[in-house]
This record gives sequence, structure tokens and C-alpha cells, in this order.
Amino acid sequence: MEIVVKLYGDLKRYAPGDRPHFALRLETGSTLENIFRILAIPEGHHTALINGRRSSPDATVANGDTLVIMPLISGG
Amino acid sequence: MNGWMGKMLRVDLTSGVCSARPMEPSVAKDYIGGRGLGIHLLNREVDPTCDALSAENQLIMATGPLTGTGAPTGSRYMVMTKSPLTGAITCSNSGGMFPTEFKRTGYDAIVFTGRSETPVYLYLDPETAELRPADHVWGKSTHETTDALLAETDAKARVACIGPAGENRVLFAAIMNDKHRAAGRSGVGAVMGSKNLKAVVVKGKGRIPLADPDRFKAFNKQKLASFKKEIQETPLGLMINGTAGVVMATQNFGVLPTKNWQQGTFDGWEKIDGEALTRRFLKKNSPCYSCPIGCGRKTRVDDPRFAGEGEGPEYETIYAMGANCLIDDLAAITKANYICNELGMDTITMGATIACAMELVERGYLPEEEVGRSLQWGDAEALVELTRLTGARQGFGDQLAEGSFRLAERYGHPELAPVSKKQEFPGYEPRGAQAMGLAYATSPIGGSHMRGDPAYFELFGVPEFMDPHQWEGKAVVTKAFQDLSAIIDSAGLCIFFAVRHLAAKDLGVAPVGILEYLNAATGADYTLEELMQAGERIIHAERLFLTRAGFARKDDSLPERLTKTPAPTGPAKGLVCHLDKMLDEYYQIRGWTEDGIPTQEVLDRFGLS
Ligand code: SF4
Repeated sequence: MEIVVKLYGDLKRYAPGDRPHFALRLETGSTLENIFRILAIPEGHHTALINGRRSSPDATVANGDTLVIMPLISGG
Repeated sequence: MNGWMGKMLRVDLTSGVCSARPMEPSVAKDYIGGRGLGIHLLNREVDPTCDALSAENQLIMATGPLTGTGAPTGSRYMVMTKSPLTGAITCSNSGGMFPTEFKRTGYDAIVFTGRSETPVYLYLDPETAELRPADHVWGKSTHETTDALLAETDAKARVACIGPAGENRVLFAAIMNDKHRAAGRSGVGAVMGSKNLKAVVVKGKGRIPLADPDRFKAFNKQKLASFKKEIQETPLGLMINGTAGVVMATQNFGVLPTKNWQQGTFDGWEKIDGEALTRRFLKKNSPCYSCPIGCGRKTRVDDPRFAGEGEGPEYETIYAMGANCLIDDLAAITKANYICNELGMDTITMGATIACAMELVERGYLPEEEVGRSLQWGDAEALVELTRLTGARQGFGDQLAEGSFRLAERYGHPELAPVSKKQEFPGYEPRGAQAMGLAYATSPIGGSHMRGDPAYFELFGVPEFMDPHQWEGKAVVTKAFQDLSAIIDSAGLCIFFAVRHLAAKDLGVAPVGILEYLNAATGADYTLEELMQAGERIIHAERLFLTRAGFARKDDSLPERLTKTPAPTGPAKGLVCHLDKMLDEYYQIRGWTEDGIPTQEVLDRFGLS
């Protein structure tokens, strides 16, 4: 299966190529934890949204999902 | 007294007499200061049904016991009065350097009563309190006024003043201090203008007395060290991109108000977010007094169409003047922000009112001939021109100066105004952040997030993440955050540091850090329970003023656009805000009747009868 990953802020540096938005092929049933490992993103310090819903590391993604990973933000 | 200076200045603008009054220790302890002290004085002295722009209204400027003490972000003061925009109260607070200098004059608060016949300003230092003529700066911008008054008093003094917008009684005129910092919301500048008070110039001396300086210093050292360690591990977005960094979060959660609150996502968001601001315009960070964060932005725009220099924009300005107007031109937004600062106006209401006018035009309710120019979605030049006209109340600006509710009502469609209690919302869409809807509806100043900010637990994960789409369980947390914000606003701290670093994550909402600072500074020996009760007391005292002014459940409302029309785009697609269900629960937790009126039992318990 394939998902779209969008990295923002200082997380852009974990993109495998030179684009911060990219398609990622995965095994069915992959969790966010698996994806963090594949992309070498350290635990914590960021917010992960699957289709705009905040998700914990054990959440699984499905084919066609959009995964946003952005730094923790506050203020405003 | 320690922490508190122990006296207040009363300035009768009608007679020109300034007199000092002692601060009663029991009032200080029960209401803390700042916002709490403000509502205590309003309840005692101002008829809640009075005309906000009449001599009967009073204007209160109040610091808190931690203002100027060196506690992190202890830099703030509060402006409280009856609001001409909402008819309820204001709670407009601001940081910068003015509040600390103000407190170093020896006064915790200044109460302005009556109305001066001619324009005046107050000059205040530890030996002097006098009203001086201000005819020569009347009509001048906030920057010109500040420069002129510093030149004729003391270059090291600090100035808070109004610009032409306040003089012209624009209903959302601000009071600007240190040129770029705003007590922005609810028209505090219009009240100042109605009193013919152009400015307050303060020059202090010495330090704020502390009850136990060693205890204070030791705790401060520990707090700053743990803050430093934390930001090494997790860089703080506020330090890198200012509050503008929030665009990324609200867009991706689908709660960035767009097109006059019709949707929660904006395609052009990356052109107006914090990274773009940092890359294109940032010159340097601009911290308030004693702040380790420094979220303020000194910026410069070279684009010849919108060239200028100043501070901002903040996230709220970017939402209101950007996404909400479908404007993705950050130079224009920044320019309009500079104009608001110079003329002295609230950027949120300004942007939201222009967006509302754009929709009125699109739907054919407002002819462009009346506007005097084209006013289509995304028109960056219209934003800048209309902002200027509004401050001067010239042409169509005279109508925009009344805010979105009165504008939309005039053209027969009040439902298009994005307001609660006639005040425009800040930039979080409640269909995708349910508690935010409850916070807007129950805020004593109308549409506002700063009186108990659910973005912390719905979007930022502080102290923990709660699902933003769920309404269940939100009333109790919103109430707790409102009480906390009353404590923060009254102590003289900034919410950006205090919520995350002084309200102890592991205990939920428990302001143990604020408690330690307060006790070391004042020696008042607050227990945690007493402090939490003080927060709650302030909320009830505010509600009492609103009740007497005629506010009830009917006014704790949101437009049907948010409660009946499902969100059309983004992660919140298909959702509405379940305000009514949250309100029922909220009133019950507060001890208010179903109609939102504090019960006698509650008033007795908090000494408000
Ligand atoms: S966080 Fe920002 S607004 Fe708050 S005190 Fe610091 S610089 Fe001022």
C-alpha cells in the first residue's frame, strides 16, 4: 500500500529525497511507530496527524492516507 | 506590602484631581491583582448598564503582583472597563516594558473616572501624578505620540497611548504601549478617547519589593534552568516563528478560519505561515520584560507596494486578515498590521470585519458603490486601504469602524458576523475544536480565546491532548482552563509561559509554579486551594457584572454557521459545534442556573453577595 507523507518545520530534514511531501510504500498494517523508524524520526517532540486526526504511535495507516508530521506548536 | 505596591491612583479626569488610595490587603489576596482587581473595582464602582463611552464609565489599568518582579513573563498589565463593542467587560492585556515601569512608580493600578474637557495625558512618577495638556499630540499616530511625549518628559519613560482610532471612537480601538504592544481587544482605546485621555507616561524607580527574595531567586533559578533544558530537547515553536507558527497547526487540524468562517482550511496557508514570515520579513525577536521566550517579531517589508517597518504580525492577525479574507499576500497583511498599530486598532476585529464585508458584497447584500471600491475575496489592496480608512472613520471606514456585527446587521444579515457578544472570534474554528466554541461563548468579553485557551489541550497537547472533535468532557476542562487564565491574567504573567511551565502537567491544571512565585513575592501564604478559588471568584465576579448588564444564556452564543452548518472541508468535514450540550454541562459545573445566572449559593460562597 501507499500513503502520502507531509513533513513540516524542522522535520523536513527527515525526508528521504529533497521533497518534504512524498509517497511512501508500506506493508499493510504499518503503524506510525514503523514509519518513524523507516524515516529515522526520533520519538516525541512532534505531532502526527493521519488525515487530520492526531494519532498515537501505535495507530495504523491505510492505503491512500495522508500523514502529516509537524513540530509541536503552541501560542497564538 | 510586598509584590503588591499597596496603593492605587485615582485620576478624576473631570476635575483634574489625582489622589492615592491604599490597596486593601484582603482585596489583594482575594482578587490577586490585574484582571481580578479590575473586576472587583468595576463591580464596586461602575453601573453595568451605563453607556460605555460616557463619563460614567471608568477605565482601569492594573498590574499584577508578579509584574516587574523578574518572574518569567512577569511583564503584563490589564485594561478593564465596560466595552463599547460588546456592552460587557473588557480584559485587554499587554506586555512589553510599560507595565513594569508603571508598577515601579509605586502604584498597582490607575483608575480613570469622568471625562476631561480637553485632551490630556497623565504623567506619573513616584513623586508626581499630573494631567498635562495633550492638544499637540491629538490626531497623531501612536508612534508620533510616543516619540513626542518621551521627548518632552524623560527619554527613559514608557508610554501607553491611543492613536486616531481611539480618538475617533472606533469601537475596536486599542491602547498601544511601547509603540508595538497592544491592549487590543473590545475597544479599550475608544473608552480612553471618549475620556479625552491621549496617553499615560510612566517613569519608575527602584525594584518591586519581594517578601522573601532568596526563596524567589532560588525558585526562579530552578524554573529557568528547567525551561532551558526543555527547549533544548523540544525547540519551542514560539521562539522560532512567533505565534505565526500556529498557522501550520490550525491548517493541518482543519481549524484555520477561512472565507469569513465558512471553512477551516486555506489553500494559500504556506505563503502566510510563520516560516514564510521568518524567511521574508523577520529582523529579530522582540521579547517583553523578563521573558525567556521572546515571541514578538520585529519585521520589515521592502515590497514597494506595502513597504514599512514595525512589529508583527501575530497568528491572530494572519488568520483574520489573511485566510479569513482569502488573502495570501503576507506583505499586505504585515502592512495592514503596521497601520493598525500606528492608528491604534485591534487587528482581529479589523480583519474579521473586512472579511464579513467581502461576504456581504459577494452575496449581493452590500453594493460595492457604498464601499467606494471593489471588495472581492483575496483583495490585498482593499485590506490595506480599508484599514487606513477605518482608523480615520473616513468613507466606508466609518461603517467598518463599528465592527462586523453592526455592519452585517445594517445590511440585514447579522448572521454573517463571526461574533459572540458582538466581538469577533480569534483564529480557531470550533467545528473542528469543540471546546473552543464553548470558550468563545462563555468568555466574559465575547469572542476570545485568551480567557481559557482550549487550543492548549485540543491542538497543542498541554497538559495532554483531548480529541478536538469530541464535545464530551470538554466543559470541565474548559472551566478549569478559564479559572487558570484568570489567575495568570491577575498575577501579571503571560499565558504563553505560565500554562505550559507553571501549571504542572502531571497534576492537570494546577498552578503550583504560580503559587510558589506568588507566595515568595507577596508573603500572602496562599494555599493551592485559595489560589484556585481566587481564579474561580474572578470568573463569578465577571459574570455578576454581565448579569447586571442584562447578559444571559441567549448571549452565550455562536453564529448558526458554526452550530448548524457542517464544515465543508478538511479533517472536521461534516461536523458542527455542539455548543448547547456543552453549555448545559458548563453551567452546572459553574453553579449557574440553566440560564447562565450565578446562583445565590455561589455568590455567597465567594463573598460576592
Ligand atoms: S511569550 Fe511573547 S507575549 Fe508573552 S511575555 Fe514573552 S514575548 Fe511577551
